[in-house]
Amino acid sequence: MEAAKQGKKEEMDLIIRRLRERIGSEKVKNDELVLVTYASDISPVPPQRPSCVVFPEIRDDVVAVLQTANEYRIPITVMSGGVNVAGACIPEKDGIVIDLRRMDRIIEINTDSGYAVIEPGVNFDRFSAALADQGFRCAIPTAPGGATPLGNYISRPSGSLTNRHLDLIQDLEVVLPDGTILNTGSSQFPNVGSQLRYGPFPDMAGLFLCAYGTLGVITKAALKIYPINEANRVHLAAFDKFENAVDFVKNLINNNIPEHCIIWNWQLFKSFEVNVVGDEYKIPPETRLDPRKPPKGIPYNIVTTFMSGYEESMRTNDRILKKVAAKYRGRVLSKKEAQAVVPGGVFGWNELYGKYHPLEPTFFGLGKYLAWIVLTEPRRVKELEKWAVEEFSKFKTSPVCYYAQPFDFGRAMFFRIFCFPDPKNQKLVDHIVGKYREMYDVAMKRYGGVPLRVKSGYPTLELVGGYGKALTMIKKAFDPNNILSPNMRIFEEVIG
Amino acid sequence: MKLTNNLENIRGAISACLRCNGCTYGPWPENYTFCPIYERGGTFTSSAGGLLYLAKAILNQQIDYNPSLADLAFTCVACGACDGKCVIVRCINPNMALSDIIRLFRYELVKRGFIPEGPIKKMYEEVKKKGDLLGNGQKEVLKIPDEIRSDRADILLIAECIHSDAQARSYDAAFSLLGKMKKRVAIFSDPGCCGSTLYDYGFWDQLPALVEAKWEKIKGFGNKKLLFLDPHCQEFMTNKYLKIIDAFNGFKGQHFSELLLDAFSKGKLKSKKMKKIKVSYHDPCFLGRGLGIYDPPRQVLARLNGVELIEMKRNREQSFCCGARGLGNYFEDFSKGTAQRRIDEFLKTGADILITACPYCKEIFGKVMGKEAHRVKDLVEFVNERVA
Repeated sequence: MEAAKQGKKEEMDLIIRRLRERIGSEKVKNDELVLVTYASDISPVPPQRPSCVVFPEIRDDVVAVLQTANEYRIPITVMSGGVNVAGACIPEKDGIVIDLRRMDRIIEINTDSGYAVIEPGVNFDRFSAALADQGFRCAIPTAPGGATPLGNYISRPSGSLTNRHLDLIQDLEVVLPDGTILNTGSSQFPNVGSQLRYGPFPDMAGLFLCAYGTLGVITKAALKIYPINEANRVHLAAFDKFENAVDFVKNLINNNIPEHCIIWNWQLFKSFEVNVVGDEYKIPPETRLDPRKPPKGIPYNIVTTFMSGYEESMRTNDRILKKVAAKYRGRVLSKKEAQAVVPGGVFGWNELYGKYHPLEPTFFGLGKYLAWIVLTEPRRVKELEKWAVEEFSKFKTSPVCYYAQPFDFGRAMFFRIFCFPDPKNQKLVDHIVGKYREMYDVAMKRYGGVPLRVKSGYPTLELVGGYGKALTMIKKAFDPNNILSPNMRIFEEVIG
Repeated sequence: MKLTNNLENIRGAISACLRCNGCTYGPWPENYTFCPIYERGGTFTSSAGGLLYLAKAILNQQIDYNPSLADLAFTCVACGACDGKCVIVRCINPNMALSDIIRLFRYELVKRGFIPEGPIKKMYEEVKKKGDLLGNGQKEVLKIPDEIRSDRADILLIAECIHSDAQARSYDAAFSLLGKMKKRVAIFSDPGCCGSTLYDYGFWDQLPALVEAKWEKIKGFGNKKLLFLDPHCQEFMTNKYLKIIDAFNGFKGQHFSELLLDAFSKGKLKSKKMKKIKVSYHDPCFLGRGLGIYDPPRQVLARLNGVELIEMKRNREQSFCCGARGLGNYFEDFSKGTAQRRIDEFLKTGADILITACPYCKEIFGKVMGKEAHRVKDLVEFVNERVA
């Protein structure tokens, strides 16, 4: 046993030496401090120390790392920013972490075709600022500005401001474990840009979305960007029933009015008021109440609607919004009312939608949260919401926060609900994590809800028949030694 | 002492870091990198967030206190750039900013004997032996002109922390300026430290006794406005004394740049006609981010004939630290390397003179600039040269 351990250590030392020779010692770290800080994230996933962390600066560095890891069959975990990933970047024990933060060039902003080519380490703050300089914007998720567009967009649907699309990827440059480099979109041809997602060959970009680094390492991406129009509006509409809020959103989308809508539950928008005033930490007391019953004067849901275009069309849409809200027993709040009901939210939404850059959501200050996310059809999300809030109420943690938003013109509704268990209460954390697995099962069977990611081994590839078989064949062809992100457990049952 | 003195007490704040890297760069849309250890290291480990993760790993018994941890923790310059950026940690624990948590981490390291070799260890040994940093105090007895000194004056100049020739020259310039303003001040010039260095480097066991003794002496001068040249002393006494001394009632404080501005406004100082010169102003971390004093030094420079101020790219809240207080050994020559980065930024402006308003900044910039050290001046020196 000891000899095997010693042999393994010697092999790893050799691998690290080889990596240093190939890409430079400054880019390969294996001191204890680095290994410890790359062993965990904010999720309850138990930490695991890698054997080294590499910091590629150019694509050839990634090629060198993958080829070396492939030769020695060392598991790889890739991160672009490592933010907002809920355990997805916790490495395999003794594996190699590739942290792409130093690959952070904005290579091209194509305002004609409407895409930008960036490296994986570019974060939302830098990307949105560079785009704003050119009169453009990108889809921004409910994540801190240090999160990366690439990391979020490949975990589709994760970008806000995108009710009209499901994903925002135009073209990817990917490195496979054997060092093969491929471009998925039109830039695969010499002297051609990224204006086409695919054609004349099949769409390969989709293969890498929601794959979480299990099929290749993305070293460059062309992402969809949008012009900043002459005028924009952020409206808040209040509803006392979630189903009415959903109908309101659907109606607007069917009429092609908003660029983006989100339905927020009352405990979430009240949590935006969590703040530090002087030396005091203020938590709105309402967020401690039953999430099913808002106090008088606080609507059950608020829908934020963002739209932009010409000033004239905005004025027309202002009127339409009021009409549609009334049709579904809601109402658009005046600026004064909005300020009174959601003082903490109005500022943030105006920054996010009006200036197109992310804000650090103070509600993270409520502590560690555990999120449960599914996508379902609009009519079914109404029932799912009731059931999910009921289930979350049983955890007896407060607040219970959720938001829901349509994607792809409302074909799918995204529903994300989260709670803040006391991190010291491991028993409760474990109970909730276990319960989530059961809830994904029920959500699929009863409400047609598909999890955003493979969570706690659910669903499995064995559940999806021929799709699973085909995907496994692709995985084996691309990554025969199964070195890429085995921590994601996507191929665990079929490859091991 | 009201300061939290145990990492376990702030486990919630330590565990809240999202790894968002927001602590490493300034506000949108500039997003300038402003964390010196991150700019040098380029890894999550070498950031305030990384230090929180290490503290979390200690609390969760995934790692023990060790010399490498001390090397990294003491390499952080505690410039406070991250403090204003991270809302998460402050939400969980409003009493402690990120840089304060790092100082508390140092205290935990010091308690266990993990202190990096070099100047910090020397300081600790002195503090442990003498209860104060007398080596940090007056190098030589200040020659205070009689015409500016009056124990009955309503201003008390805090002039205890003079440990280099460069600093002594700043005080000489300040005395000269007080003379030109015909301003009399009382002077507190006992050798030693106000406590800020002890606080920064985690020598907290000796901190309460030293601070209380200093404050007793300062109180002995009566109810005066305290005047500072050193922003480290001013920031510490303003923001931290109340967390250390139980019966602390605060004081009115003023930085020398504010006094100068006031003197110009009242016509007590007049700029000489001199040849044109371009200057760039480096915001000292403790004066700017610590005390919010950004405008007075600039306004003073604007009152000087022939002086054109050219800002460096990173300025005011987004200013980049001089590196002087990063004395750990995680990176080779970190302190000088950081100063060099700032000097490079200064050189890009094309200005002739680099002005600062902090003795530590002036000293490190001077050391790194070598033969060009004459191009670094404290604000008071520069003003003194250019007023009648």
